[in-house]
Amino acid sequence: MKKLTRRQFMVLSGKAATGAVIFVACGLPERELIVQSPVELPEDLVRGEDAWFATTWGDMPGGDGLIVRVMEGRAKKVAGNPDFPVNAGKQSVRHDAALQLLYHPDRISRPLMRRSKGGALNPISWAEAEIEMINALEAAGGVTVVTNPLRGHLGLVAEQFAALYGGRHIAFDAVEQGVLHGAVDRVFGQSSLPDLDIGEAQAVLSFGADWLSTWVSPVSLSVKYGQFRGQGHRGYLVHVEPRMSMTAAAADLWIAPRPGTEGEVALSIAKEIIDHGWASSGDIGAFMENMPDGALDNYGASAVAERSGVPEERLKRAAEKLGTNRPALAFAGGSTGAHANGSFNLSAIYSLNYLLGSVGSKGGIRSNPASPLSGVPSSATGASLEEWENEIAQWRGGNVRTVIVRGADIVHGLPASVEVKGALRAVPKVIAFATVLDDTAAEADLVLPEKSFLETWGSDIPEPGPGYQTVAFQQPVVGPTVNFDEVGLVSDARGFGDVLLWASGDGLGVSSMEDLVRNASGQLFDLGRRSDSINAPDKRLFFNGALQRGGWWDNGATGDDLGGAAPNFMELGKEAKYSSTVPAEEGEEFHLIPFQSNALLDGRLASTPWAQQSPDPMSSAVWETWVEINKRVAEDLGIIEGDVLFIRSVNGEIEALAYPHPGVPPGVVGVPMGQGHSHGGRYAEGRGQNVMSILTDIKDSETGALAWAATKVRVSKSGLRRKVPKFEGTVEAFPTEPGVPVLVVGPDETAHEAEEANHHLHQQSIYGGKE
Amino acid sequence: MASLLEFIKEKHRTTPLWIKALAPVLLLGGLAVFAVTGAVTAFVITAWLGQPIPVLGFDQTVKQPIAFPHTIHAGTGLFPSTGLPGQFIDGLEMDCTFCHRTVTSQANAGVPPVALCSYCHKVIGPEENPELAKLRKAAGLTEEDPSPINWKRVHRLPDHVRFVHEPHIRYLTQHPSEIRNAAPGVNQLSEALPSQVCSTCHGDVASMLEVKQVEALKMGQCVDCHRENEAPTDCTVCHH
Amino acid sequence: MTTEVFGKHKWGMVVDVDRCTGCQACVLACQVENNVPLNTQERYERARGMAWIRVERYWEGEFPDVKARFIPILCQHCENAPCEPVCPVFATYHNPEGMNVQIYNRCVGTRYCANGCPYIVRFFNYWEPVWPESFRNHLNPDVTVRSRGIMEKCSFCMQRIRRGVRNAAKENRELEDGEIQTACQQACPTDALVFGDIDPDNNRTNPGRAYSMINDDRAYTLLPRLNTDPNVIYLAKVDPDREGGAGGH
Repeated sequence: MKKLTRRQFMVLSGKAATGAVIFVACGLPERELIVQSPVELPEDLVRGEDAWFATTWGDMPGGDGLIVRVMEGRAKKVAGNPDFPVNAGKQSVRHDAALQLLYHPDRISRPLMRRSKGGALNPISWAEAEIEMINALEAAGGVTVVTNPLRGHLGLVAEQFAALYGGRHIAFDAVEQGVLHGAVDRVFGQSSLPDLDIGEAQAVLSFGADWLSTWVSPVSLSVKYGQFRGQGHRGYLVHVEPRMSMTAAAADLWIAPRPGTEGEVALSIAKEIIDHGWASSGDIGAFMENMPDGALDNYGASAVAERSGVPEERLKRAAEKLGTNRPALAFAGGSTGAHANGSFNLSAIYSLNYLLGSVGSKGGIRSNPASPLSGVPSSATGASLEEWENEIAQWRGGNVRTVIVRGADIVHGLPASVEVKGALRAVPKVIAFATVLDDTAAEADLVLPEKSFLETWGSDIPEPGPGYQTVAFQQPVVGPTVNFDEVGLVSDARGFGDVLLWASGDGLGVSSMEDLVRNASGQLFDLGRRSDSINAPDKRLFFNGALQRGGWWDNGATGDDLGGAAPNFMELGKEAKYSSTVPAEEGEEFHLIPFQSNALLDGRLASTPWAQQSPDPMSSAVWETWVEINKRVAEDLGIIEGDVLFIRSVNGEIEALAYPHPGVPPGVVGVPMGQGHSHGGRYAEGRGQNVMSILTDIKDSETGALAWAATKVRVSKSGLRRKVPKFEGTVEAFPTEPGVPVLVVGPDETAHEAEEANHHLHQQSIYGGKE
Repeated sequence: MASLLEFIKEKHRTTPLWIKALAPVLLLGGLAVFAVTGAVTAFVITAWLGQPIPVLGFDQTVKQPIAFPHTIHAGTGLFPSTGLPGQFIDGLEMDCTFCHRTVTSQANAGVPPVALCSYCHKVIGPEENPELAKLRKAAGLTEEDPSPINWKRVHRLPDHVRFVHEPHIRYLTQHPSEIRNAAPGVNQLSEALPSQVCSTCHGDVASMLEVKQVEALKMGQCVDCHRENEAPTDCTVCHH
Repeated sequence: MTTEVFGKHKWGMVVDVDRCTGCQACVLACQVENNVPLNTQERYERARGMAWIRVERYWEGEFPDVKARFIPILCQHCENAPCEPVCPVFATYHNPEGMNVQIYNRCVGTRYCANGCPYIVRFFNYWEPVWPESFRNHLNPDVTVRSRGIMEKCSFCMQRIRRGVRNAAKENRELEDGEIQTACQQACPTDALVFGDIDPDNNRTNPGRAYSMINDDRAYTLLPRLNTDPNVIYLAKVDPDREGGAGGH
């Protein structure tokens, strides 16, 4: 009894104590209990009021107009600018994820310096950094400015700055479009990319380019795809690519040829069209004019079927669809150009447009005009692997004293054969601009905090443009005053452009990116055109208008006519080359097709968790590096999902998680780019593996570009197995019966008819024909 | 009975002396725990149902970093100065929306930037007033750098409520005579100014030296008023 | 016209499966707009990823005759919603605007609704949502952050609807068709998602875009035999080479 009483007392006192603790825990964070009166109140800081500012993001391919929702001085959402002619208000996962580049917890807030090669990076003040930078620039020796491909005024500044210091500006893009620009120039006589009028076409033939996901200008091309599908008479899409990409999945007919034989496939389609009389004699003439006699003799459907591994029936069906539906257009890029015969492939395919009569016409390929701002780069691509090899030989040879890097992760993106890391160590001073420390900045001697695109002035000239002159303006939508309170991250970043302008003194004639953009607006005003974007009585109002609308465009200013006949592309190197492989005992041989991740691209968005967790469209895999392999082939090799596979080329090996699915051609494995960073903030570091590191240095025979789709690998099991992180399986999604949930209707069939027919089939399968 | 007596005697004999000495302490301690628990429970219940009991500093008024008198700015009559004791100043009868500018257009009524205060107080108000000195310092009128003022929040709704001032002000000002459950005097107006209807929820702020929350602002009160005025009562109007 | 008339609209969405490319733009746009927590690798591995709208991918056939079919799936906002009657605390109910609503502050986390939903579009917060301090800057202040133990799902971007309706009332005008865009619709590059008022009475004089699509020949609803009567209408995928399936041809 005594025990009980005491126990009760203890319990009671215990309860009282917990009660008190819970009560205390209900307290609110201090910041919830204050209302701040700022000293000044600009319109974007008013509480509860949301303002949308128009801007653009020059670092993305394409050049889309954006609007950013800003509340109380913080950017909340990035969306497409509905006024802007390129992307018409639409966006991609990359644009939404970009917000996290601004608020990244691992953003570099102060300049960092390494006292000696191999030493640690230590914070220094901007004043010290300025001295370091000036010393590096004034020392004798060459200067190289390395950036991502830059159009618009940032490109202009980088170019002029390099020239001022007697150095050079070299652009880096892991998946550079040099072969594409070269082919377009050869076929149409102008190197800036043309406008593909997919929206008005009745048939489209595309090769290798995953244009709905990552190729060139995916958002604007997707907008056009929507129009293509939405027409009264629905367009027919044929896609040729050795991997089932998003575009291949969207196609009505997908053809998977042996990698590198795409040019031959195109020519067999051309021969079919000519033989069946589906092209006018004028068009045939334009196509064949510069070609030797009998050039197509070798490209009969059955012969090409043999060489490309594509069933003859499919080639003929593709030719029929192209031949009998007009307007029709053909284009190519991506892995089709990433072969030793890449230039031949792309030239052959783009030349098809002469045969289809779609050069310069509605529903075809139309030229883009020259930029209205003279001197400002309107077309950009990365330097070819050959140029990079030459440049890096200069670094290694001690001929370059200072390398300035911005937005180009060359350590991660160049093939291992180039050995960039060692070359960077041979350069006395490497200065990197970075928001988050990437693999290249981690090798630098001086790291300067870079502003995000939401904090800087700039401009972009979209490539490909919408078919008429268009300029996008980039403006800071959040001020540098944004206080990251608890994190203590008061952004001390300065923009790359502004620092270069500062470092060039009066050399470039202006002192800030803002002035450059303002001057550009003045130039556009001086053109005196009444455009449908801005009409203003004076320069000041014109500039306001340009910032409000996100740019300037004049849909009357269209491009010049494209060339009148196809070139003789038969003289180009026609043979695809593949790398040799490691010895046969190291696994089964496959053709490796690396592809750009839908969200991370080549890895430039790997630091943002939103991009990392965005499911891949085909596999729904996330956060990791996986390898796509044909389901039946995997079964034969005893590989199941989650098996850790070794993928070995003659240049090295990576590990990836197996993801077998039926959409992979049997001889091919697909591996996404974008992972395998040794730096890049908490979300990218040490995650997955870098497929670029095992590519061999085969180059396109004409341009010297990296033939990134020409590597052969051997695949073997490591014996380990891990769960593939993926969205698939989170919900139990499986078709319960035919047509559920994805109902497919034939032409002129209604949904109701299809449902009835499917249900009938379903019942037959259950009751064996009796109902 | 006898057994109980024996039990007690037995206990008395076996219990060590130090426990006996502690007994009154334990008894008092137990009572104290009960008292505290009771007080806390009472506090929690009142806080849940309405406003907390104004004891132990749980009053709704809060000490602001600058003793801003709503009385002198918005009131009518003579009011004591908060900075200079013994001085009285005539109320200015300023409109609420002069400072709370976004109340007619936005979710938040808006707290004015320091620049708005200093627009007048650059000139108005004696230099020896210590409260005004704080303001002038924040506004950057002295040698020091300007700095924001962190006012203490008086009215705070939970995170899962989205209250928007604008439609409330719109409704209350458009047809003041039809409003049920309005603040005194509003029904007599044929057309109301925004500043005449604030008191519906905020009380007569113009007469408060230190602003405090006068209405409970609990969901029941919101819903009652919405029902009486045939305003929407769907959950999603406020919760999303 | 001083008060907003609630229940005047009936919201719905039309999803054109033929246009969907599976690009995931809608998924992330929704996540950003609605403060949906980060799906970490661990969450995915435990099959507890959250997505108010998701793109499902189905395989049809084997190589080379293989097709990948994409379909965006979001809360169907059923008129006869199986999730509604099972909620013991009325945290989910059907509101007069045709929407299936989740009220977070009422939810006690029984998860009955998620079990009842045949479309599996309800997601439970098994953990407290965590953002690094700096990422809190981009949280949408119009949307409540859900804590642990709360069910959540697509709200048709309720905050945008409320803002749109309020702005129209403020300017004393009627709401225009297409004025309110959900985040997924705003993002969708191929225009596969169309949100709007699908009430026949509101579309009599000037039919809106969504309404004009719901009677399309290709219109169907998901799992129609369950009689849930969804307010999300799908337009069937077109396969120009499909043979044999058509019953009446």
